[in-house]
Amino acid sequence: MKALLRSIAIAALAGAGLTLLNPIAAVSFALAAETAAVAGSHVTDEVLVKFKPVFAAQNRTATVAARGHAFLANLNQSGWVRVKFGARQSMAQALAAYRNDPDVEYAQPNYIYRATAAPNDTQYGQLWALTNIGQSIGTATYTPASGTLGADINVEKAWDHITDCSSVVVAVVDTGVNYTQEDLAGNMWNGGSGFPKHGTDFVANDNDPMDLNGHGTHVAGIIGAAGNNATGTTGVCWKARIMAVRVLDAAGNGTSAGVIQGISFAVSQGAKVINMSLAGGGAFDRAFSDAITHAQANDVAVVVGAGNEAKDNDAGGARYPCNFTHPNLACVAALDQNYALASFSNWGATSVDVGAPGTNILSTWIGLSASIYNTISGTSMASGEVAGLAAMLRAYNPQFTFSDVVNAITKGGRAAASLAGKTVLGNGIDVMSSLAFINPPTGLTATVQ
Amino acid sequence: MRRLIALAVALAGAAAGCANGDTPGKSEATAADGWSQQRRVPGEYLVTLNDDPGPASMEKLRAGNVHIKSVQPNFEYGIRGPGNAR
Repeated sequence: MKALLRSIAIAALAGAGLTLLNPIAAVSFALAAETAAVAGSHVTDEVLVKFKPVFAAQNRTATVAARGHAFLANLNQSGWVRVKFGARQSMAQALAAYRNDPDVEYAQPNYIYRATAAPNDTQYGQLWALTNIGQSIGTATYTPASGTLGADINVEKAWDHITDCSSVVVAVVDTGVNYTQEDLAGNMWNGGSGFPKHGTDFVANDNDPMDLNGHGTHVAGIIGAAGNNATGTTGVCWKARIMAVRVLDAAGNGTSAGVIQGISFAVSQGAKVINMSLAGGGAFDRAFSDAITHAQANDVAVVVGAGNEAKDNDAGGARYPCNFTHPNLACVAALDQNYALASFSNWGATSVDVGAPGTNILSTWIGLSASIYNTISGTSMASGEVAGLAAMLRAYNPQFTFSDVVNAITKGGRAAASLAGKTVLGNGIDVMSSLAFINPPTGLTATVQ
Repeated sequence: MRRLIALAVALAGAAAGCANGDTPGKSEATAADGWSQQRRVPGEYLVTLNDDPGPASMEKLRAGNVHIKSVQPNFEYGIRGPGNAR
């Protein structure tokens, strides 16, 4: 079926007169169609029928044929058979025909099931941002601590297609990263002999970016804690390459100088996504802006948090880096477990690009034990979700530019009522939709004949 | 005494001093000699001042020196999140 849908998608695009320069885009298009088909939930022209035990097995075929249906198979010893009723009847008519038959005990649709790639991590049930089943978060520090079924980033469907983002280096420019944490150790960037501890430190000015605060480690876990390893949590990406760039001290504070050095390092060492869950005041920071321009020139996508002061970043009080207008930068507001704007989150109809889960987020932490996790809230956490999505998009579409990535994140998101008028498009992120999002082709020419 | 690190784009400090006829001290000359051994970003210097004359004075300094393209404060950034440890 998947191959058929891909063929249909490609044929449809070809019929529209487009030459596909990007075959992966066609596959993405097909994924969307496949998802829609699965949403039908049952085979449209089949029913399953259970005959009563007293009804002789050898008479089942004749009973089915008498209704003009096709007997497909005996399913088991208890009398269930599979029947194809064809296009002349509706599902309701076919079911009614068998349910009214005194020889039939039960009839039902032939439901469709599909494998979902839910990971086996031990604390996966607490990760409402990834799969929200309305669960209560036991370690919650933000109210509400429970939410709405389906109010999540819709990542499980995407995991059917990609879980490994390790082809993309993601720099976490933050308080450092606890690179010995059990869910992060295997997903850290390999810096070779020059950077054997997976990054660098512009606070202590050495090459050991160990986190002394916890914030950077938490964000790193949201992006790429090892998934499906029967341990702790999972990130948006099950496999990742996290580069630790320490620019904030143990109290979580840093300066322009450290940040621009951090960005320069990340770019020069090959990062293609930079997460910066930090914020400053309202003064335009030319040096910081220039650093993001440098990242843009090197095709690096930058994801930042909107800030946690419950204010409008557009209304007289800019918050940098969120308010920078670079096309490679995505600024993120925080959503709660009902996909409402979190009470602390900043917003901005022109400065904030998208929303993502940011309350009661469980992720990796710091401590003497390698098995420590923590639940915290903030637009920093929301930024981490989006950075993970950016890495996944680039891993899935290696030819994507920063522009493609930002487009797929923002335009591929789904509408969240609480974000209407508070972000550029009023969307919260939707990983599967972004993965299936086709960026409008550029550079095409057409001739009318 | 609070120190301010000014991020100056374009040649600053020593070159400006030489243009005014000042002679760099021996220790400064030694440090500058060492700089040539490491790769650096052309036109950018980190300058640490002995005190903080304030942004207006720094802008005045920039305006009076053709080598300095821009000067800005070293702004502070932070995580400022409402989260707390479990």
